[in-house]
Order: sequence, then structure tokens, then C-alpha cells
Amino acid sequence: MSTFKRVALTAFWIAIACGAAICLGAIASSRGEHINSMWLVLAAICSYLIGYRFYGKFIAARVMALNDERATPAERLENGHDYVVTNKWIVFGQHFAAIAGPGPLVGPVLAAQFGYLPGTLWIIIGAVFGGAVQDFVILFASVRRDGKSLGQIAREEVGKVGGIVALITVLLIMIILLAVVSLVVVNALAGSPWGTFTIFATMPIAVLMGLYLRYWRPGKVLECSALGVVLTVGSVFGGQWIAGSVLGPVFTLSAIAIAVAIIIYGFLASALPVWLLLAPRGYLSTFVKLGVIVMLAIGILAVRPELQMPAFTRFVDGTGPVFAGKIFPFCFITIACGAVSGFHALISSGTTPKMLARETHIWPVGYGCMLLESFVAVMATIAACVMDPGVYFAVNAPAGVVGRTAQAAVTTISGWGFPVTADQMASMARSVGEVTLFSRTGGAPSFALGMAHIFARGGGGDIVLGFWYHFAIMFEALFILTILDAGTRVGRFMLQDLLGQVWKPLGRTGWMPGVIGMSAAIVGAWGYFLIQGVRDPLGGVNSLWPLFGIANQLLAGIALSVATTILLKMHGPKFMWITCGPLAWLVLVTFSAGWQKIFSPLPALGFLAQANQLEDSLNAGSITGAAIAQTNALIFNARLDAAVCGVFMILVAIVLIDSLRLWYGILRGTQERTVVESPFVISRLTGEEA
Amino acid sequence: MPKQLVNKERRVALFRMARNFAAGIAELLGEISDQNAYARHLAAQGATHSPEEWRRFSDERFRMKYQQVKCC
Repeated sequence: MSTFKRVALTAFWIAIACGAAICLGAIASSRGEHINSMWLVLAAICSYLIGYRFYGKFIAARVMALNDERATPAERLENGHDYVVTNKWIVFGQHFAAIAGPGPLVGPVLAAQFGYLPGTLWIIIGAVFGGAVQDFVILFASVRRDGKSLGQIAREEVGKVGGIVALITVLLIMIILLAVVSLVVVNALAGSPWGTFTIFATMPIAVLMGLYLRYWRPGKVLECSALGVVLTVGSVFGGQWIAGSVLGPVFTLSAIAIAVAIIIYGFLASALPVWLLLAPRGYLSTFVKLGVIVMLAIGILAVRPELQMPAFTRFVDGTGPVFAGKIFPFCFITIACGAVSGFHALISSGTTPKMLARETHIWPVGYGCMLLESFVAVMATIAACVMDPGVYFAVNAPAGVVGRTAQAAVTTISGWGFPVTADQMASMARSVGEVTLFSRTGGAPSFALGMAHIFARGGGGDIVLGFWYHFAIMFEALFILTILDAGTRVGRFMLQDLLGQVWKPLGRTGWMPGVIGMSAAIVGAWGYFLIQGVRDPLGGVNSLWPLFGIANQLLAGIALSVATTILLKMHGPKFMWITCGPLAWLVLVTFSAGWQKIFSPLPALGFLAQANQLEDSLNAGSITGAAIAQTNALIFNARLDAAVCGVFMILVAIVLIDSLRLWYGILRGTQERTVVESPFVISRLTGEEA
Repeated sequence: MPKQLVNKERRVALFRMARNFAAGIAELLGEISDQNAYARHLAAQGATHSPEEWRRFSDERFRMKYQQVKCC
């Protein structure tokens, strides 16, 4: 490289670093005035560039010593099915489509109750130093081990206990995940005929697509998906007409009715042939998801909206209406997948390692995709914070906190220092074609409102607000339901796998009684938590989302333990800080959040305190009649949530103790430092092929 | 070099970049939609496209795909 080029490049990176520092400084020091969302966008992009170019490269070159001369599993084991040498950017797109779920959209919206600053900083810093590193190291570990799964790697590198615990943890997390994402859909669709019709319409559309692909135009997936997208957008238009027609009341369903419908859907999707419903929905959802993320990025860049939410709100003290708990640890727990996601470790040790052509591709795919996911979370924060804070809290605060009437809610919220009026809320509800927007908890409606405002300002104004709001709801519900149906099916396989050890026929995936029984067991498990969330007077999100966040971050803890073990075996203690740092932070955050959720004396926060308070009311005779049975159910549920949270913590503590035992042995020299990698085979791929 | 020629070279380079970008997007869509995987399957099996072949391929593909967890 010529001296001029080197100087120019150095100047460029200095400019990017200064850009990151200036933008982060601006968003961190701005108080009492609205700032433009571009500060957040630029702070994120500059930080990602620096993190990717320097920290990512350091890990790639010095720690992992990625070597393009070493053949990857895709090359060595190529079979045309799962092991396939694939272009770097195609794997990037595939991996991103696989890791991008509703978490980075919902979590940051909920965490906006603390203000825009804490969430944004954690999304950026957490992704650069934690989430991206976890995905990167696990992807590397899997590539070096023939594309093995996290459970298998844990079993080989840490021990048998780690592998089994990882499997059980994944199953439990999935049950909570499916319940909480279903709750998000229920809260978005309850009492909304337009939204409900649109989502119901996607089911016959998916079946039509399935038949089209199977019998009419086999193999024409793109053609079929294009047809599906057109029909789905048509159903968003049609929903407005349906809502105003005689069919309106048919699609105006209560939260319980929608929850039951989703449970039935989950069961059917798990038991029906995949080609009929799951696969076409999967295609449709992936295309819509990627399209909307690109549209949102373009919308934010084009409109450059101002943030209405302050940097910090008064709720950093833990008295927030959206969910209880102080900024530490609950901001980090709530953001979850936007910064660090344990689930990504499962994807990074699933399909992706079997497709990479060269080892150096692990860097953009493993590290880069997580940065992009983090950027999606920043966009979600922006969508939540462009609304008036009063409107944000009116939408996200449960009726059990702010009051059941519009007047009570606006009085409470305005009393917190976030002015909002009943007329303002009524007019906003009218403009998006809803009856009310009060207490639409779960994050999806407020994200949809923010997104609709950004798109409407981009063109069309208030006339298109209703369309974009319901388009956003359709987009979120569509890919949440895709997670639900696929998750139920995967959960069924896992359960069959586990129980097949006890009684062989249960393990056979083609044995119908087993299929129906196991599907019912999985649906029953997440369905129970869903109904519990729907009946919760605090909206369900208050208890279920933190439970999901804790579980997800604990899974990340398992992944980072495995990653640390591998780094320790590779280099000794020299580089273990890379994964041990984020691991220590996550252990601190998750265990303190878990402890507070179980043992906090505040009934709004602690499950046991909540159960005790309800029990005291029962014993004092202040609850009578039909409310007694309901209160008993609430007491049981609070104790169940405490038990589930406790089980998660114990499971992860087992893995941590097992890992610490191993690390201590390695550091003292009493344990072998053998890394279980597949043998080195020289790559025969030419530049063209890779 | 004459200015006109430089402009033409730039236009060609831009066109090539746009074409590569479009090809990349098409490739990604083909991969996400499993159409590329199907083409690879046909090539590997030495088979030609038919409704039965697609059904055989997709049954196996979906069986593998829906045993993997989906991310949150």
C-alpha cells in the first residue's frame, strides 16, 4: 500500500472514531431539548465500524487466527444439502434472516420507559463487546468442529453436564419465548377487527401458497412468495373495509379469544404437514421481514425524525409502569436480543457454519450480522421515542397501573410529567383505525405507531397512517406466528427426543399418537403461560418479558462459558477476557435480575411478594365471590414464575460451576488443554469459487 | 485521457456495480427461497425438474429446516 493510501486510510478511521465520540457525546450530554434521531443512527454506525474494523479484526487475526488455507466443513463435507460452499454475502443474508426475530423490535420499545439513552448505549456497547463476540466465537468454534451444535460443543469441551443442561435450558426458554411473543400478538390484536382480519387472512394465504407450490407450480418459490406478498398487502387494505362492515364484530375478539385461537393455531401448525402451512408462511415472513427492515432504515434516513422522549425518565428508579425494576439490571434484561442473544449461539452452531466457504468469512457473518441486528434495535428505539412520551406511556402502561378509563389513564400519566389528553389519544386511535390505543401493552402497537408515523411523514400524511399502522402490526404478528409454529414443532421434536429415551414409541416422529401428544404438551406448556399473561392485571408483559430476558441472557451465559473454555484451551489465560468480560457482566445482570424477580419485597417486582400480598388480601377477607378463584390462580402463577426463574438460575449456575472447575484445572495445569477440533485439511477452493 | 472516455469508463464501472448488486440480491432471494438449493439438488442427483422431484426435495429440505430453532 502506498504511503498516501495509508495516510488517507488512517485519516478516515480517525474521522470515524471522532464521529463516534462526537455522536455518543451528543446523545449522552443532551438534556431538556429534543435531539434528532440521526445522532443515534450516526453514533451506532460509527461505533459499529470501529468495533468491526478493529476489535473484530483483532479477534479474527490474533485470537482465532482465521486461516483461509484451512478447508471449512462446507468444502470438506459438501453434500449438496446442508453442507454447501456458499457466497459470503449470501450466508450473511441467510444468517441475518435467521437471527432477526421480534426480540430486537420489542425489547428496545419496552426499555424506552427509561428514556432513549440507557437503551441506546447498551444496544451499541453490548453488541460490539458482547453479542457480536459471542456469535463470532461460537460460529468459529462450530466451523472448526464440522458444524456441531452448541450442545455438542458444550459436551465435548466442558463436559456431559454442560451439554444436557444446555438442551434442557433451550427447551424451557423456548416455552417462555413462545408464550411471551404470543402475548405480544394478543395485546396487539385484542379488540382490533382490522388487525385480526389481516392476520387471520395470512393463514388461508399460506395454505394457498402451500398448495400452489406443491401441486400447481412446484419449485416456483419466488413466484409463489410474490403472490403471497401481494395477497397479504391486499389483506391489510381489505382489513379496513372488513372492520367497517357487518363482519367487523366477527373479527372484534377479546384477548382470551385471540389467545385460544393462537393456541389452536400452534397445535395445528405443529401437527399438520410442513409444506401446507409452516414452510409457505416461513418464506412469506422472511421476505416481508427483510423488506420492512430495509424500508424502516430508508424511512428513518429520509425523514430524520426528532426524538420526543427525554434521555432519562423518572422511571430509572424502578417505578416504571411498563415493567417494574430499576435501570440496573432491568434495562439490560429487557433489551435482550438487541445487544446479546443466547439464541444466536444456536443459529451460529446450526446451519450457518455448514455454508461458509472460507474461515475469514466468519468475521463478517458472525460479528457483522450481530451489529446489523443491533442496528435494527436502534431503529426500534427511534420508532418508540419519536412518539410523545405521554402517548408512549398511554399505549404501553397496563390498565391495572394507570386506570381503566381514558380519563383516569391520562390523569395518571400527565401526573408523572408526561402530558397527554383523552382527545389526543382518541384522535390518534381514529387516525389508525382503532377504537382505543390505551394499554395496548407488549411493545408491538407502540412500535407500529412509531413506524407508521415515520412512513406517513415520508409521504401520504395522516391518510396513510392507518394502513402503515396495520401493515406494521401484520409484519410483527406474521413473523411472531412463524416463530410460534416452527418453535412448537421444534419443541415437539426435542420433547420426543427426550421422552423417547424413556419409552421408544414416543421418540418416533411418524407415530401419530406421539406427534399429537407431544404437540399438545408443548402447546399446553406455552399456552398456560400465555393465558396467565392475558389474565394478569398488570398486563402479563411485566412478568413474562423479564422472565424471557433473564432466560435468553442466561443462555448467552452458557454460550460465553463454552467460548471462554475454548479460548482458554487455545491460548491459556491470555485472551479469555474477550468472552469472560461479557460473561461476568451477564452473570451479574441476570442473577441480580433473577434474584429480584423472585425475592424482591415489592409486589410489583417480586413474584413471591406478589403472591404473599394476594394471599394476605384473601386471608383478610377483602376478596370475595368469583374473585377468590381468580386470586388463587394468580397466587399459583406468581409462585410458578418464581420457580421457573429459580430453575433457570440453577441450571446456568451448574454450567458455570462446571466451567469454573475446568478453568481452574487448566490454569493450575491439572487438566489437559486439548482442543477438540477437526483435523486440518488444506483448502482447494480458488478465489473464484469462494 | 480525454474527459469523455473517463466519463464512459465511470458509467461502465457504475453499471457493472449495479449489475453485480442486482445479481447478489437475486442470488440471496434464490437462496432464501430454496430455489438455489433445489438447483443444486437437481445437479447433484443428475435429475430434471418435475413435480415429484420437487416434492421429494422439499419434503427432505423442510424436515431438516424445521428441526432447527428459530431466533427470537
